Amino acid sequence: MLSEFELYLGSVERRLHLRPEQERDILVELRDHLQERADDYRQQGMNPKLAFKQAVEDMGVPDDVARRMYDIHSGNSWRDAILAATPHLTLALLFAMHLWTRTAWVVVIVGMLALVSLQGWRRTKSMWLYPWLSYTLAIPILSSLAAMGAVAYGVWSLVQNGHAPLGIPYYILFGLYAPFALYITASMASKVVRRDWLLASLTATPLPVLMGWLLYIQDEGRGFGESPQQIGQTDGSTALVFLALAITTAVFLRVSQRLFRILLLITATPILSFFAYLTFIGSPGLLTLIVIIALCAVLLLGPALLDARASQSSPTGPPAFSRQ
Amino acid sequence: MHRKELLKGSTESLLLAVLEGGPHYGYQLAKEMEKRSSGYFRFKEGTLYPALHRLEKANLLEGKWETAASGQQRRYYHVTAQGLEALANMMDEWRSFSRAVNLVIQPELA
Repeated sequence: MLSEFELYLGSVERRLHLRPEQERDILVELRDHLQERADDYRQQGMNPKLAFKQAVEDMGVPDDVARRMYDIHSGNSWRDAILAATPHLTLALLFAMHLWTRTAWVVVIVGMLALVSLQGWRRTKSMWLYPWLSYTLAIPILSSLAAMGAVAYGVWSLVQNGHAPLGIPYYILFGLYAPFALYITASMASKVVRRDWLLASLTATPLPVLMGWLLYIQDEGRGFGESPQQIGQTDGSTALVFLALAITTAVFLRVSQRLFRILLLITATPILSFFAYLTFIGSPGLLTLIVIIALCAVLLLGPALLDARASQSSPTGPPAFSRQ
Repeated sequence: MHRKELLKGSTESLLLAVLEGGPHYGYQLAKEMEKRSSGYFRFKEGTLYPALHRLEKANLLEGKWETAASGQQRRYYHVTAQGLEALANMMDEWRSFSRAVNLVIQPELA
């Protein structure tokens, strides 16, 4: 008999996109209200089925209720906004001071990003965590791509020249590492999408810039160990891109309207990515522009599609919440 | 239509005014509002809870989970000191506003 409530609360729950404990409190409150309203209607002589239906109608459209609650509860303090912008600011500083060529600095910063992400993931799933997660997830993504590239190059060399640049055990190691790293990434990404697809999009925001920079470094044959004087023509502009990412992230956290957040990411990510590629390539052609837009569309809207598919596959699941 | 617009602008004052008399949980609050206004104010519940949560976010209310006599856990809303101060200001404003409206629409009573 309660299925009317469960369906309604399930719809609200799917659109709340808040922290689990916040969602649970809101849903418990709404469920109690619906129950009492239906009981009152029944005491007034209404047919039980109609009483449940009327109580649900009185509550209003689930989308509206969820959107209002999201707007109220998803705002963040300045402290959280600055915390969220910190990883981008760190990268901006790394480029502005040409420190990315110093291995020790890179190791310390990568370690810090990973540590904060893991601790944040375990202890809180607050919104500030997700920009940190961007760089932590970038490590397995980029390293697995590099491992797959090394294996492909090794196979090609073996076929062409009869020998590979590295020993076979290395290629076996790379071949085992790549799917493992991608599995870890996919598993984390799926958890983020389940929490809120928009946070997955926020997490993906710096990836086009990072990928562009790595391609540029590879193309130019530049690497760690060179002196900052030899390179750094693009470091100033790259630092500006990361600074702009930091500002975008802080604004994202401070505003609470979901529509504004979506528009902010959809606008800022392609513009910043294009500016980054303009810096790295010089004058990107139409094809590059199309590739950038396609990449941004996949990274920003892909999580929304995954979320929609997940909702379709379990549209009527009752929400599991209780305070008792 | 007019009623809806008027209620929209007065929701926070009305909620604070009812809660000034003591803590209530959401449904109890909606019923009390209906009772005091002889059914004139009937909240669309979907707007009641966002209004309560907004007031709580602004530190005008404090929501506490408490166990009711039935053993059920309910979220009771209490007015904070800041909420009482805000209510006093809202009431002053409302009195001035309603006096001015009356002077305009019923000048014979002035």
